[in-house]
Parts: sequence; structure tokens; C-alpha cells
Amino acid sequence: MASWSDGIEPGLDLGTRELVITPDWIEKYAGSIDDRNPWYSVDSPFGGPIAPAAVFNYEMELFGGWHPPNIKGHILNTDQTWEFHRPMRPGQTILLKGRVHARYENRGREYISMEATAWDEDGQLLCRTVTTHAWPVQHADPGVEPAP
Amino acid sequence: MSVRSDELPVGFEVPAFGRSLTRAMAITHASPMKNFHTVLEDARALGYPDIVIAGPMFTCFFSEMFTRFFGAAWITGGTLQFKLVKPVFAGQTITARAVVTGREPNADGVRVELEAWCEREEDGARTCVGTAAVQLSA
Repeated sequence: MASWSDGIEPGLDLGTRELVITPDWIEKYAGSIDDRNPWYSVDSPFGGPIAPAAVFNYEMELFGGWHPPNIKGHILNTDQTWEFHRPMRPGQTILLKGRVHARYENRGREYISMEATAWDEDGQLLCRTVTTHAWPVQHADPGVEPAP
Repeated sequence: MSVRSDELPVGFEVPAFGRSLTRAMAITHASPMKNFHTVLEDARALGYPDIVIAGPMFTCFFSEMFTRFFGAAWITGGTLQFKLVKPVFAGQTITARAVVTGREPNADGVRVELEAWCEREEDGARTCVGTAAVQLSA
């Protein structure tokens, strides 16, 4: 298995962030897509408003510790995977846990996938996402073999 | 809102979700980051014609399309995976679309599988491509 001298490897714990789903956060989501679904402010089939399923869509970008220092060239988001398990509510406290899911090189680019899981205070899984970023390869780590 | 699985044959097109993406929407989405997703000068310095829309925006497009159509079933069991294959810039119009590609009966009803993509109005190009699935009661 490949290894990296910077220690950013699959399984690396990126920490746990305690987040409260505020009305401002939901409004930020709504403003991003210029759409105001009444499920998020008035009522939903779950009884009362819920948060958008993808309210965490940008949160992986805000975890630290997942990309090597001194990257030359900009980082591009290449893939996203999502599983939605339970509704989230405005005002709810969420624990968002991050870890490095995969790291590899392919065709001159280096890729890192990060997994985030969101949990409620009772330990129930609310959603899971894996997001992958890539940038031009800039080192020849002997532990890494480019994919054919 | 409740969609019945027998109303969704293979080939069924889910009602689309489209928006013209403004700089304000891009900045709202990617704030508080200061980079080529939020700062025009940063984008132009990298050779892009305008602010580059951050990839997670299209998770929102897909999820809103599926929330509107599948309702609670999406919130409690929807899955989505997609690749971002072309950059999208502020000022462009993007529409999320999906079509039913499979139906798999199971003990709980039917698992509906879909091809999903985002399409750029200006040239018809697919800017992200992927799949989704949702479990519906029979």
C-alpha cells in the first residue's frame, strides 16, 4: 500500500465539528440556489420544518488537514457521493466527523477523497458524503505508482 | 407529496431543476472562502472567464430536484454520486435532470435507479454526470 511522507493517508482523522443548523445557514443554502422550499421554513411531511438534505454540501471544504502544503496549481472538486438517512431540523446540533477516505495518483493528477458523516446527539447517522479533490502531481513519492 | 413507484417506468424523466447562476449566488454558496469560487480577480488570474461555481453547488441542484419529486423518500434514503466533468462559471444557466434507468423490486417496495446530470443551457454540454437511487414503497 502506498504511503506518503506528509502523513495524509486513508483513515486520517480530520476531527469532529459540532455544528448547529441555524436559520442563517438554511438561508445561505436557499440563497445559493435562489430557491425557497417551504419545507425548510414552514412545514414538511416530517412535521415542522426540516433542513435541506444537502445542507452540509460545502462543509467538507472547511475541514482542515486534508491537503498537502505547497500545492502548485488549484484544487478541483472531481466527485461527490451522498447518502441521506434521516431528516435534520433547524436548531438541531450535529456532530460532523471527517476523515481521509482515499488517496491516489492517476494520469498526472493527485486525488484525495474525504468522508464526512453527520450524526445526531443520539448517535444516529443522518447523512454521509465522500468528496474527491484533485490537483497536478508535484512530487515523485517512491511509494506511489501512477495508475496505468 | 408522495410518488408511487408504479408511476415511474424506465425512461421516466424527473421534473428538472434549473437556475441561472449569478456571481451573488456563487459567493453566497462558497463564502467564507476567498478564492476562485468567490473572487472574480482570482478566477481571472487562473485564466477563467468568470467566478468558477464550486462543485458542491450541484449537490444542491440534484438534491432539490429529488426532494421536490420524491419527497420524504429522498430525505430518508436517497443516494447520489456524480463526477464534475466541465467547469461552470457565473453567468451560465444550469439545469439538473434525471431519468429512471432501473426498477428493482424488494421486500420494502421498489428501488428506483436513475441517471442524473447537469446540463449547461448555453451549449447543451453535460457539466456533471452521475447516478442516483431512492427506495419507494410499493
